[in-house]
Amino acid sequence: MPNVKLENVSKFFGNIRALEGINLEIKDSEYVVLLGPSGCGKTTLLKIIAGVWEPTSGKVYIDGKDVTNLPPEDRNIGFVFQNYALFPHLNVFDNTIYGPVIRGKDSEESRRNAREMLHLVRLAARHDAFPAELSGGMQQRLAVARALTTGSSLLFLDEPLLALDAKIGEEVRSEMRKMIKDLKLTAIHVTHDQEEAMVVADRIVVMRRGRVEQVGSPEEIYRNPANLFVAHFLGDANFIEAAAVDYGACCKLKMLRWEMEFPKVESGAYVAVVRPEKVEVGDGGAEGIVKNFRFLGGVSYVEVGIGDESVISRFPSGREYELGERVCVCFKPEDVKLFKYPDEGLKEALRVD
Amino acid sequence: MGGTDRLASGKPVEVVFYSVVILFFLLLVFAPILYILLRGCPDSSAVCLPSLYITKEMSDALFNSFSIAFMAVVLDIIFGIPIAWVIARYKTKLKVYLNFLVDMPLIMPTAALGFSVALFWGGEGIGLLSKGFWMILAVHVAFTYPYIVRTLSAAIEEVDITYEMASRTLGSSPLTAFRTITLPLFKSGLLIAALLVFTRSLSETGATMMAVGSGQFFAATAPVQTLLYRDSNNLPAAVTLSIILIAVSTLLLALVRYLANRFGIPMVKVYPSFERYLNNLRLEKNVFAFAFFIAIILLPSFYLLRFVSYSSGEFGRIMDSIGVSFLIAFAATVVNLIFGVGMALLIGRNKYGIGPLFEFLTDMVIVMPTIALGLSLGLFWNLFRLDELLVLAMVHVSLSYPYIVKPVAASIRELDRNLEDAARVLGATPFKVFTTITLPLIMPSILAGAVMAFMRSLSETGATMAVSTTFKTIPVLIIDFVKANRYGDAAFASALLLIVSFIAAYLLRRK
Repeated sequence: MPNVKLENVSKFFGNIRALEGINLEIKDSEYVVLLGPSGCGKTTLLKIIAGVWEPTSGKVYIDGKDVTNLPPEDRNIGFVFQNYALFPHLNVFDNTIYGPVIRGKDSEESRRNAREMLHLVRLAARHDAFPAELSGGMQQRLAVARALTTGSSLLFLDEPLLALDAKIGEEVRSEMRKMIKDLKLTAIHVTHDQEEAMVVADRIVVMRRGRVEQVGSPEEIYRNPANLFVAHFLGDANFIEAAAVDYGACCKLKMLRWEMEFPKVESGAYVAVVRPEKVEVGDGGAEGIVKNFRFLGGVSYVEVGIGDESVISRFPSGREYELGERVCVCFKPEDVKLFKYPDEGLKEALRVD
Repeated sequence: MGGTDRLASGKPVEVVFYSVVILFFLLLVFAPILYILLRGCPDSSAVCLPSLYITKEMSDALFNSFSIAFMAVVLDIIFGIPIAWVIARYKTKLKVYLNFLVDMPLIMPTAALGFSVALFWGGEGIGLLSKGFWMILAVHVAFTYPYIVRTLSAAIEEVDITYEMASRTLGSSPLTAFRTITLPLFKSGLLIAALLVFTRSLSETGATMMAVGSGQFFAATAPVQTLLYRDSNNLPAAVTLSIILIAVSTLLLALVRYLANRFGIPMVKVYPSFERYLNNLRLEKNVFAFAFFIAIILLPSFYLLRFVSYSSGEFGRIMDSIGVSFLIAFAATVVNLIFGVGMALLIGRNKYGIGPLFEFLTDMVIVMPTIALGLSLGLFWNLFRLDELLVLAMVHVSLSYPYIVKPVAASIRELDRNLEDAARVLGATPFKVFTTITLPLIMPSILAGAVMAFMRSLSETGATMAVSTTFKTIPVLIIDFVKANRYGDAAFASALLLIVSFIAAYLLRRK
């Protein structure tokens, strides 16, 4: 049963530190997503676990065995490449059975196995087509089938939905998760799309600039982001500059020309993170002017300017606002995540690249 | 300004332009080559068909030609693929050095190269081979090797490396991945490289002359035998052999073009453990290929530099020959630049749907043995009683023409048409688009083509010997020296030519 462990993995390309001291454990039949902006090192990490690249330092364990110096062909893995890398000169069936054939296991059993796999991804009818003749969604499914026909139960997916149209990608990702769960596979999936990560993952590893920022279930990470960057990258959030003032038993949080009672924290400068769905527009709270209003179908959002800051509220569609309307916004203390004001400045702390 | 642009962009101007380009090619480059087929012999008073009787001498020469060409192709591919793979796939400094080293024998005129290789293997060098069949093979392997490595590395580079990685994650060793994935994907590149080398070997004269033995060791390839016939005024025999060579080359070309997209390399058989074992021998470090490259190609190619000695009073003659060579090469290159780029446009854009036809005809010129080409052209142009220097120049125009057309046509084909459309939308006339967008973008390949055409003309021997009587280009002079056993002078002339070529190539490339 495959589990993966990384110990202090680093990768340098010349002077560029692509990965620094990554420690990570992935349990058997867990669906883990490596999430981060482009250039954060997530694909590098995936390729190191798969053995396509070697780490500069650190160790990689699969099934408790040290595989750091093992070439990819000896790791018994399945890998779905970003552009699928379907062999253009082989037809659907030959692509699928390539793994067993190349290991000298071209038996009746492996052929049956390959046919079953094609059946599973609904490509059995197209077994003699060539990759160029398939639609994007079919190519993606073929890539998954090919990776799984090796009999591996450890699957690597490198941005597997990037090449698909948005709508098809949405269908494929749910379908893919269901199949991976049904087959009880361990999957490591790389993406920069936070929504995709939330939909498929058991656990998300948020990465930035070659480091792991936070590991947790989608809900944990959304509700309890470890820092400002994670709060910013996963879901939408208001970042409001705030000051905490000690009043003995409790303290007061001053922000947006408004203040609220707050459980005791050290006095100082903070950033208050509030999800838009937790912001209410109504009576009381901070007063401001409607700067923007959009109807998005099931929900609407309104942006309220207060001084030179603005706060966004998202709510089930119903009420509409006029530009320039005077309104009040408020939120509850338990919906506020408080972070120390970053030394490098708020903008820098949130920067995605 | 706008008026002239518009006029130059008009349909009639385009038609006139392409007509001139096509006429130039057909009348001045192509027709003279085929003249030999129409008129079997030079005596204009009678149409004497070439004798269809093939002597033992001829069939021996043909047999030698084909077996040597075949063996050279096989050796080149076996030892060329690993080096080509390193050049295409490695990103280290090694790649840069290898690139340079592999190109070096190309700069060497084939006559000088053949001379050098013959010296290396023969009694003056390590004494392993004496002149004759095997010596000719050694010479041919040396001068064809750079062609195959160049072509193959370009073909390998075009295959996305992700395919190899995908194959490895599916469980194949690097060697198996290369054999089952990369090799089939660049098979047409392989086939074309093989054809190029085969026909180059089939048509080579200058270098081969250096390795032709005597007495019981005598072995000549078909082009050399043709030249010997011509020198002994046995023209019908020379013409017969030429026609056979032209027919065979054309047939091969047609066959390869037909096969290129059809034949497959079967991948079904796999020997995982054996290939893994091979792979673990670290053959990807290419020890054998490197050893082969250095010992069989590089060392022999430049061995002659050991023999350079300056003998009295020949300096003037050598400089005269170099002058003639450069004059002819320069004139041929300039003429071809003017008309060849037009042909490249026609082929690359497939104008009027006749692109493929002219591509095939241009390829025919490449694969045609230069001795046959020279013989035919000589017969043709002497009809008009032209000055010898002019005939020589026309011969060189014909033989270097494809070397400009091919790379330029390829780069025109690869050009992103959106760029030109963007320029049109921004208000440029087609003529302006050509001068401001297309031309600057294909300039590197025009320059590369010009360098190749120039070099090809500079090192050409067979065709020159077929027509020249008084004017001697430098390769011809080198052969004269060798025939007179004046090895020092031959080495000196070769070295001098090498230096001049090197400087010329360097200057051209820097632009």
